[in-house]
Amino acid sequence: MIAKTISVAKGMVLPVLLVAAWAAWTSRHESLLFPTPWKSVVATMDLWRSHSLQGYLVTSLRRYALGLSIGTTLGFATGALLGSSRIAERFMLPNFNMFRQVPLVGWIPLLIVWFGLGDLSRVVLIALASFFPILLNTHAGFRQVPRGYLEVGEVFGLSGWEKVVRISLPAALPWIRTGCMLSLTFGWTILVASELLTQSNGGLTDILDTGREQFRMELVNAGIVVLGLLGFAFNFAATRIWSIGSLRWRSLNIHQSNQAE
Amino acid sequence: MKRFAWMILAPFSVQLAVLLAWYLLARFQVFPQTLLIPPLLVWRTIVDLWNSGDLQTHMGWSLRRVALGYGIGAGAGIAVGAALGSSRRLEAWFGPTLDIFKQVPVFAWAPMMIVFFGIEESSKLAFVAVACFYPVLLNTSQGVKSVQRKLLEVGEVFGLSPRETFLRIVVPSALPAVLTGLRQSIALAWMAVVSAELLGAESGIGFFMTYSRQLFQMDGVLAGVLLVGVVGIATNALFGAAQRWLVPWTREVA
Repeated sequence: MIAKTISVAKGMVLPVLLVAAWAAWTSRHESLLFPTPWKSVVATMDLWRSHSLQGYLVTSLRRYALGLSIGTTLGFATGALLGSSRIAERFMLPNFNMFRQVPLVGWIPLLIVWFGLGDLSRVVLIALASFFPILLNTHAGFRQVPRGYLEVGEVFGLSGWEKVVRISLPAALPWIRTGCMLSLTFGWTILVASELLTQSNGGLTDILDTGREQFRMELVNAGIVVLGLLGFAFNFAATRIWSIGSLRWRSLNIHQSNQAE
Repeated sequence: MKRFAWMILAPFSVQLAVLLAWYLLARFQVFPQTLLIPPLLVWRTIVDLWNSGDLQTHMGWSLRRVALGYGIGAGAGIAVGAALGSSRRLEAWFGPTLDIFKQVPVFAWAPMMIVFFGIEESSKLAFVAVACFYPVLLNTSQGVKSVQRKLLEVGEVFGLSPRETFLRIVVPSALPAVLTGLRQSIALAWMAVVSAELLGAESGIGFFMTYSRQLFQMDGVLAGVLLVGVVGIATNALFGAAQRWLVPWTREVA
């Protein structure tokens, strides 16, 4: 316990020193590029008081939630299909593996032409981003179910569907969990990209855009802190939620394979 | 042999079907021409771009940015990762700070880079470098940390100098992880370059796509998407080949 406290304290020394140095330096030589950290706090509070921050937050989270739920649902379904059918695997998996190496931001101009500059483009992009991690991990999870389990199921006379629901799915859950977490993280990254690149209207990156356009560095700094904190919160929440309950004994299985083997 | 043919042909048949569907949809103008044009026309656009030299120019700019930004970011990632991986003390003091910065989604750095370095070349390079940094850093430090104690002890028994220990034990042990990091990063680097060019540039494949879109030239947009995808797939394959060549003893898990 004490050892842990000490190691956390050690790690916090540098960040505290950095902020202190930043504050000390900027209080003497304040410039446009290097405003005091205090200004960022004030800017954030102003955003909060004028209710703009809440508005940004709701808009971004709505896009994120919508894209994520579409992407992970489709990804999970496809992964389960590829995991339980050899034929589907043969036909589709190499294509998915190839397709996912196309950089997502490369789709943005095309999505804008097809779906306009509105929310639809962004939601499609986030859905695409969250589709692949969960697909590949669900597939891998289904594939690693020990043959023996399925044979026992056969002995008990389970139907094909029952085998999937009662054997493969529970055995694959730790992998699916990993896929979910990767989808969550990557979806968040791509949300930021999609908002920046489609001239976001009303999302969190508006803080960054306003800061850049009006040359208010304190807003840029504040925006980065807000986005970082939210990303951290999602990661933290996801890890916590998933470690509750029956999955606790399993370690994280990470499958990020690019390659059809 | 039959199995091999099956493995190639099955996915290929899907690709053909998609291409056919694309052709038919465009041929019978199910969607307006401003939204979808036939595959052959896109191919012709690419050939035209090649003949006029525009393709080489834009691709050249984009690849140059990847090379420079990746060089800086991945180089720094290897250096910092090796330092943190080999020293518990450094890790304890600096690790958490790096973790804090890691929480920020990469693209959020782009506006800051633009404010700091302007819309010119340097802001793009800085952004690409930042995007490359973390995967390399994390994998390198993991790789260096995973060097087995007993191997180091054997080295000691054989009286290896620190330099020999590094070259003959640490490097081969850490190499697979480092290469994994490098491969993850090159994908990010490509994505970062394209997005930086979409955000504002006067050259590069990302710029070309935005430019075509603003002129409602669907052929240009589709050609751009295709080219960006091909480069993504090609670099990934290249790095995969490098892994198989340099560390053939590890199973590929990148």
